Amino acid sequence: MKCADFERRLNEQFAPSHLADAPDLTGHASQCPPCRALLEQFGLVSDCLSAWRDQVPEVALTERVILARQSQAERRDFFAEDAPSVIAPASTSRSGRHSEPAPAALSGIVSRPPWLSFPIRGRRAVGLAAASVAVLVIVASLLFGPRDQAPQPLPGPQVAQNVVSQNTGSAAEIQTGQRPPHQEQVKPAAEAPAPLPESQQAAYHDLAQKAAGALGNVSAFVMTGAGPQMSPADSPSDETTGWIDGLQNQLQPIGRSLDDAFDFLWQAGQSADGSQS
Amino acid sequence: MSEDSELVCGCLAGDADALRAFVQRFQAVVFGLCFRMLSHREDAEDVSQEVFLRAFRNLRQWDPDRPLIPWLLTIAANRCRTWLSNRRRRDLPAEFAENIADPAAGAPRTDLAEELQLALDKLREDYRLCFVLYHLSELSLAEIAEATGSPEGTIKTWLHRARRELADHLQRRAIVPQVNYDR
Repeated sequence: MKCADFERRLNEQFAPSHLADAPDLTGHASQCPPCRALLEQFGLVSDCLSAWRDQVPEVALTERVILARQSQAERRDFFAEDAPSVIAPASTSRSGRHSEPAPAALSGIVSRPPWLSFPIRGRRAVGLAAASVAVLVIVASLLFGPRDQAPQPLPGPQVAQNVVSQNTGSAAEIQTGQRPPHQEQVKPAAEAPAPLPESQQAAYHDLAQKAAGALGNVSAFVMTGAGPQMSPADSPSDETTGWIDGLQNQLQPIGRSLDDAFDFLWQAGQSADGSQS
Repeated sequence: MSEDSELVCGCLAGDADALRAFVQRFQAVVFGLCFRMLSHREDAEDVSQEVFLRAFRNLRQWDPDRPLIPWLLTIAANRCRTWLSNRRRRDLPAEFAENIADPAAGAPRTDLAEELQLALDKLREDYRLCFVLYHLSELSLAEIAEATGSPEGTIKTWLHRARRELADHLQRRAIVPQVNYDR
């Protein structure tokens, strides 16, 4: 036997009593000093094991376990969903014999008060359900709650037509630059602009036409959903955010607004109809 | 029906006498394992109590065709490992610290059992558990493998290393003669 085999076999023995059944090991150890030393080491450790004394707990472990088990059972019964009684029901053992249930006195608790008759587990479920409903209501109100008022739609053709139909002015009043009377219904009389010089009236007329056209396009956009039809030539300058803003920017230096332009154009149309008639 | 099966049946039925008999029959082997693993009497008592409570809760899972002691010691081994893991995260109590002797200092104790326990405390937990289960609880290699969840070959290796480390410790403490050999 080789020493490697001896060590492997010795490791498999583990107990001194097994050496008696392995004469090949003892035979090799008698002829090999290193293996004999290893065998002696094995025996000494085993001898120390024999000195091991049985350890016994100092406290009454049995009573501790029984009491701990009873307290656990009491807690389980207290929080059980359906606990008709304190006494555990009689059960059938595997051998078929019925065993006596544990007496209530050993449990040490009394029946639950009537106000606690509703199962605790059921109350907990109801509470969780109520909390869930509340959370859902809050989330729904945040998602589907009243939103900000939609922006007022742009005045459609009907509105523009109403403005146009308020015809109380005369051509003479327009030519003199005076604000037609109907404008007082739109603006306060104190905001009436100053009359324009004749050199700016042509430009003002062009801007008024563009403004009227823009209003018409916007109205069509709102009513039909189609975008405004605007030629590149009529596009405002790069500094403006939109073509209406561009028109306003062009009117501002001469002290006019889009409303003024609309009124001017209407008056111009009225005067043209009047001259033709 | 075996004696263990009858006892288990009584425990499952809630028979107080059966419960007491169960604890009294197995408390020595359970407490012995816990004490050897934890090296602290009060901790071993607490863990032993916990072992029996867990055993009662899971008694329905025991297979009557298999021996009861390995099943019970499996629970005990797991509880001991958990306790040791939690203990490592806490400071050692002074009482326990006094029990640990520096192997390089102090005269060797005359009590072989104490020296062996001292040497056992120095072992790795896996080695210690295998050693105790084999030599104290007298479980087979297959039962130890099942209790620890490790292969039998690993168990053999651990036992061999445990014995070697114990021997080295006992030699350093001059409990056993020094073995010098060259291979």
